[in-house]
Amino acid sequence: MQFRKILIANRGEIAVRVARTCREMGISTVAIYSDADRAALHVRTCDEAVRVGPPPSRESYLVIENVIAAARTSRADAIHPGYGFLSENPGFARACAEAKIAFIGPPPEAMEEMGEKTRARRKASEAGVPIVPGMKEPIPEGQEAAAKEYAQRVGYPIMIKAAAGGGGKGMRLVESPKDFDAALTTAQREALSAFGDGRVYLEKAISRPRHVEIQIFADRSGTCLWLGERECSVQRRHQKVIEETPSAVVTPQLRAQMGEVACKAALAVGYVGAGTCEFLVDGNTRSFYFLEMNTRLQVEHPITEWCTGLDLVRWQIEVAQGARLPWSQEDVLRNLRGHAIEARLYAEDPARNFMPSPGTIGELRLSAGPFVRNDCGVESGSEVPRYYDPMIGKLAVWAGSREAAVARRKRALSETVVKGITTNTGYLRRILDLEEFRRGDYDTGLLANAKDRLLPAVGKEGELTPDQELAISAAAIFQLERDERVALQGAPSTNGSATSAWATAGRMEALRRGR
Amino acid sequence: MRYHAIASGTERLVVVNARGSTYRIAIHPGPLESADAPPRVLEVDAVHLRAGALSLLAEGRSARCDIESDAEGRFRVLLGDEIHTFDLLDDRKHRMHKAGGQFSLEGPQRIDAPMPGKIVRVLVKEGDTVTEGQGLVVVEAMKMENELKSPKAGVVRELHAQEGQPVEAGAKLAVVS
Repeated sequence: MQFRKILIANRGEIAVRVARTCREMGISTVAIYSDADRAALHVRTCDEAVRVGPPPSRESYLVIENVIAAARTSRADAIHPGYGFLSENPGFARACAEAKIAFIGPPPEAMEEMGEKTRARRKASEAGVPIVPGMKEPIPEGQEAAAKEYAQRVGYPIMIKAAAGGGGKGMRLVESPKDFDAALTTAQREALSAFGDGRVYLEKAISRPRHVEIQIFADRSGTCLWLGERECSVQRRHQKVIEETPSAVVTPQLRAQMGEVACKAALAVGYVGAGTCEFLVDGNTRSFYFLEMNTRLQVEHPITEWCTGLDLVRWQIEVAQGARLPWSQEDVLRNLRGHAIEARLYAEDPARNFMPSPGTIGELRLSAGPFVRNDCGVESGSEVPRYYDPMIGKLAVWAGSREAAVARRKRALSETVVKGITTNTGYLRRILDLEEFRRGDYDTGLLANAKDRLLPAVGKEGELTPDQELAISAAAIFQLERDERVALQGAPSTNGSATSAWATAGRMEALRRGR
Repeated sequence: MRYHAIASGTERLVVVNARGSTYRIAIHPGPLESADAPPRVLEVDAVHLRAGALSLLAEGRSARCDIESDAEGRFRVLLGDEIHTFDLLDDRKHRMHKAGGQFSLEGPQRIDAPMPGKIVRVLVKEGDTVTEGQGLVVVEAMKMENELKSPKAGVVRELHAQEGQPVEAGAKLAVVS
């Protein structure tokens, strides 16, 4: 079956990303949007667009009936869910099937097996995959006290995780019993708000852990390939910030071992399509533990695309159309090359405790040059609504070696300018400059441990840094020009003033000489 | 022209002179000119690219600068990938600034919503004694919860936050003194 029209049940950069591949494949696209996103880039990128509700995602992007209705109205024959929102909701996949619309993702049964983390771990454990000690089921309602006793038995530090979740939402590390109750309440509330399901479970936290995940791809004939790993240990409060592939701790043997385990886990649940098995790798012993499987395309998939040369969205669509995977595992090994690094661009203010900073982007200038790829959901003039995730784009580069890739990532970052809102570009650059990162010797504690070194540079003893001096100089020049214009015109100037620039310049010269 | 730059609590006198597209900027280490402490002098060639964007040639370096400012003289200057935030005031604004006085940690501290969102929890009551860094109100925005902390030890004098209430950026949530 060939799809003619795909509805993209998402927003932001991933909706734009999916639409790009659809266009290359000659498939027309339907965007969905909430009232907050009427003017969003993804709406303009698609061929059609349908409104699905008011701004809060629980009343729009998460409403299954509205999304299905949008697909029906627009006569889409398939739905790509992107990541987040309904992408890992088996009920949504079922609703698609009932509406005779193809869901570009795994079968709902596989999502159920893997979607709930406790069930996934049980399944993996049965298949002989090592797992971190933890609860086999979410904490039942009213059993909070028993959960606390369980935490005591397994031993602190302990991790609280959302049963239905991912992406760090509803996840809390608890260092000692006194913080347990508060952390549990927060985790449950965040889980409820992010996934509509407040259930959480407990797991032992591992020391010096690295978060390494394996991209897998399966077709309906039962072929499953692994496409290498992604090192995602650069996290702040369990939100990934920078990802790279390959991982500095993964040897070819370990890669093959983890890859085979990941495929085994996927095949055990009849998986089809793109999926990711997350592992914790012990930084010292390099033993690995299965954490969970994400039954969707990941945010950080571009770095796998860089190093394999594949378009994973195209594969997703082709597999959903019933095609077999065109590659063998040997093809993958033959094609894996170089090093890729992705940095996530967040609308947040690192100087103010990473407070999200929604607003209007006055100007957006993205980097270019060799082996640079930017996936953005916004452009100059775009509004970043307060209702959704603050990630506005992904900046990915490729180079032949890790060292060259780090240098290229820094170079490309220096070309990235976002005006009007505050973003984390400076923070990203300082991470790339960290000694641990440059050596590739880091774990998931990197950003927390290096917190003080990730603050903007300050001159010692109240002195200004050369950059601060230049910034103040620029502001003074800017203000001088403005004050002179005001003096000339008797009123603040507006952009697009009808006054001849030559005449203004002449008068300004005269004014300066007179001073 | 004279300006007063206030960056991380330190006030500096900044004197700018223009000759064509070349500017001479003297940044004094303190709020006044002083014979003991000579200013840092920069010769800068500046060209306006468009509103709020300058190309600078200074001290052997070529840089692009993106500038945003508001009516209160608050500047955000993007240089490379770093944003520099400071106040740059002319004499008039500077006088007003001094006369108005800034809230210092000595006086009552106002806690505002830093961004639009929803109040998910109120952790204190009016009249409560709080310590510095103690959480007052939790605001949810963009799916993340952010705890607003007390900037000083004191007593909660005012509280304008209710759980579930939506708030706009800048809304007064509490006063601690």
